[in-house]
Amino acid sequence: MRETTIETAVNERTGESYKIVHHKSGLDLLLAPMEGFVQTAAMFGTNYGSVNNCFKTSEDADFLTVPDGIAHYLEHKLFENEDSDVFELYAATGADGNAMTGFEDTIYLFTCTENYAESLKILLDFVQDPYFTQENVDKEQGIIGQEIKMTMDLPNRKCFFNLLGALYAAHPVKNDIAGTVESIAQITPELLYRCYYAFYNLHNMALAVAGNLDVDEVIAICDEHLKPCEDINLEVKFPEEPSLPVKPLVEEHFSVGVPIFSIGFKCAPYADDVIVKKEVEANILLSMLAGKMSPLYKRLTEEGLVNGELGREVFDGRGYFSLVLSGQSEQPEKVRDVVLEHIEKAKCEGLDREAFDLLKKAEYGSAVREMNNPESCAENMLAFYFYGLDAFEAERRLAEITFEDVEAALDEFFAEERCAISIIR
Amino acid sequence: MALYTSYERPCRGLVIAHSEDEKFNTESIVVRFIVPLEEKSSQKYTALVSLMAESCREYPDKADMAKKLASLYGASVNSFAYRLGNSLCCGLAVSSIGDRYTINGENITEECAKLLLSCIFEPDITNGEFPREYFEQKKRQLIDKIKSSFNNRHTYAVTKARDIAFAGEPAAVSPLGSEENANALTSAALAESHRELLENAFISISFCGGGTNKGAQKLVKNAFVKLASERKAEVADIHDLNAYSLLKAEPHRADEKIDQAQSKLVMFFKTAGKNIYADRLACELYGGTPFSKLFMNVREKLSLCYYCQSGIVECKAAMLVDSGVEPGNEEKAYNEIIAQLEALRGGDFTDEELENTKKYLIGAIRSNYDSAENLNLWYFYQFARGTAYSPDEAAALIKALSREDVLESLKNFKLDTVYTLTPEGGEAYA
Repeated sequence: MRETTIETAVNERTGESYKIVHHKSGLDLLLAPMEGFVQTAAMFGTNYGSVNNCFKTSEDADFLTVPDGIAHYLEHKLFENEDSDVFELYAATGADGNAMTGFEDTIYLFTCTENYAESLKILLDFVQDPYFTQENVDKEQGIIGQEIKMTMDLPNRKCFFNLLGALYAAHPVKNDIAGTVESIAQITPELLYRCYYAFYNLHNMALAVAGNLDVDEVIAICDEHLKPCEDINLEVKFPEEPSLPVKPLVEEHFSVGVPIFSIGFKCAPYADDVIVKKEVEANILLSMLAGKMSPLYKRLTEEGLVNGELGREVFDGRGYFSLVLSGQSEQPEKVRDVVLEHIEKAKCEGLDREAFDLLKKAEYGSAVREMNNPESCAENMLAFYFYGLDAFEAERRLAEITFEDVEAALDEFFAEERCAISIIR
Repeated sequence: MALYTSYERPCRGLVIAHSEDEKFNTESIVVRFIVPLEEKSSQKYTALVSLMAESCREYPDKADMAKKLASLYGASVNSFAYRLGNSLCCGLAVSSIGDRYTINGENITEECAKLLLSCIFEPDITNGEFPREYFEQKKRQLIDKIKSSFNNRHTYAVTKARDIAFAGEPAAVSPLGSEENANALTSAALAESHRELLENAFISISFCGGGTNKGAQKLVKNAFVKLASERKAEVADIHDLNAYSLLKAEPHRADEKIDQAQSKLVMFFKTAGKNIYADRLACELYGGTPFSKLFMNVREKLSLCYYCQSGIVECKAAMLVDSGVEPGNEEKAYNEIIAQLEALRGGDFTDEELENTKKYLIGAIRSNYDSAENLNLWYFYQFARGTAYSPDEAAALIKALSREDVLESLKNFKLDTVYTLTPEGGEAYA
């Protein structure tokens, strides 16, 4: 077992900092005391989300493929202990507990303004204490089935997942995080335990606590409540993904007032050490091309093709990287054509240097805002940690980025043959 | 904690509130215009503030306005329009990082305040009209928003149920208005509504954030004191926005069908009670927490809904319950929701459950201290309720509530409206 050691992550420009504690149990703790804040936000996360459906550990002979939606199902079931419900335990401390499963991580969290130490003990204990039986696994099918049906009634979400299906042939990011009613029917207690012991190993997890906290007290609680474990050499595997989309257009009918669209550009995925730089470049580039100061936005609104600003998103993770523009339009295909036309024009004529300088400044402002609240601070620390980085990395990359980087990225990110559109009408 | 709050009424028709704490790295100024909710004017005001936030005489081109905001470190000017009680609350808010967080120590907060004042006092109106192109864009946007109101089935169901619950009252007037009225909007009418709004609205200004933008605050305060003190209209001073709603003789039931996978069941209850904190506590006990009666029974025990929750409708003395139900289970869910309320009224809750609910609610209220935006909203809702409690003072009031206070509150809530949105092809429930 390793010794507990502490290092400090520092934002060199602002002087902001937080502690990274390499705890002897194998878990890393990310601790950010925030002076003057009354709230404590704690997030116990695992580097495991809906895309991790094929894996092996040093104890397995071969890779195991599990049903879609199992990470999310597991998150629901961890809330139920053998002798109690976690929400009832939190009820006694006054904490507001919750959990969320994403494409790449699962996070158990609470926020509170009193008794954070007691709530932290509950969090650490229940996440390390799975209890799955056939009966309690069967019971959850109804609730999660309803959750899946609820999301089917959200046309924007439906449009986005249809786009992912058009962009990705094999990568599991194309599947809904909650899975389907059919896929979750295949989940058993045995499979849940296999996933749990593979991904809920402390070496694959982290604890982020921000706001009103005492670093020594948190470490002392961890000393008492974490169960040390050996690294089991977890490996995850993703299928080969072709570079081009599956199809350029996907449409679905669902009554909406005005048709909804999402246009995606499928890019080559990036390794963990460059993904943040690419994300920063892509965010600035999307704003330059389609933000409110762009000629594209002006034309789309003047011609009545869209009824407001286009949504812009860099959708990325391990094995996938896409740039997405979304909105509402009576003529979505025409919007796509105009977008492609403007991209080609930008490639020929070059980008606007003044816009780049202004947007870089605006991105800096948004980075400053992100660490001003215990919950978003804890979330940020955790998200970057799973990529081997600290929470100030985006700001560092932003400071370094040049106009020439973004110009080069224009060719790298956009090509007509890598474009797909999803429409709900 | 170095929280500074203040509240002043420098002249008739104007209230200015500060909620500042140096721990925040942002500065925001929120200007709210409060007017009666009326069919003839609410839609115009909603479209107007949206137009005002996008351009002004100084920056008539939207792209130039966007460039100006980007140069202020990504500051934003946003518009809003929502109902509160029987009033429409619409306006503009500017938000930016504090001056001390800029790279070169620039004074951006005064620039932000000037921009906000330009948007409000100097919109791009020439010869009594907004530029035709921007007006037409805004009109189209408004019509599309109205047409898309059912895209999100959950919010659509809650809005429809609300409209039925408050039918015949100003609270049933939608800020977006009807498609027919939107089609009839003219640029001249919208320009005229700008004059009317500034002349007649009660104005609430909030400064929230780190409190380092004193220069900006002075600019905004001076401009609005001048406006309010020179207005010809007799603007009534508002001290709260509470507007009780009459209970229907019999609960109204309505069902609508739409293409969707899950049914939505929404119920409205009304009360004649006067203790908002007892009502909030009772509502949390019933369906406001992950250990409430509705969550533990309707969702966890009976697996009837993925979500089933209750909430208070501010300034209307009403409570709503909304849930997403498997088609065919609407009646079971309805019966269980009513049964849980009846059980609570009969005293079927332990002292421990009550204490835990108090802790949860107090935690939620105190967490407002950590967000500049939430703190601003907290104090605005205090104004709307006609009180001025800090989160800690409200927490103390909740702590002091007795079991009897909660029983009294529960007894006062009466069922008024039941609305279901069910999938096409299924049996109607109501």
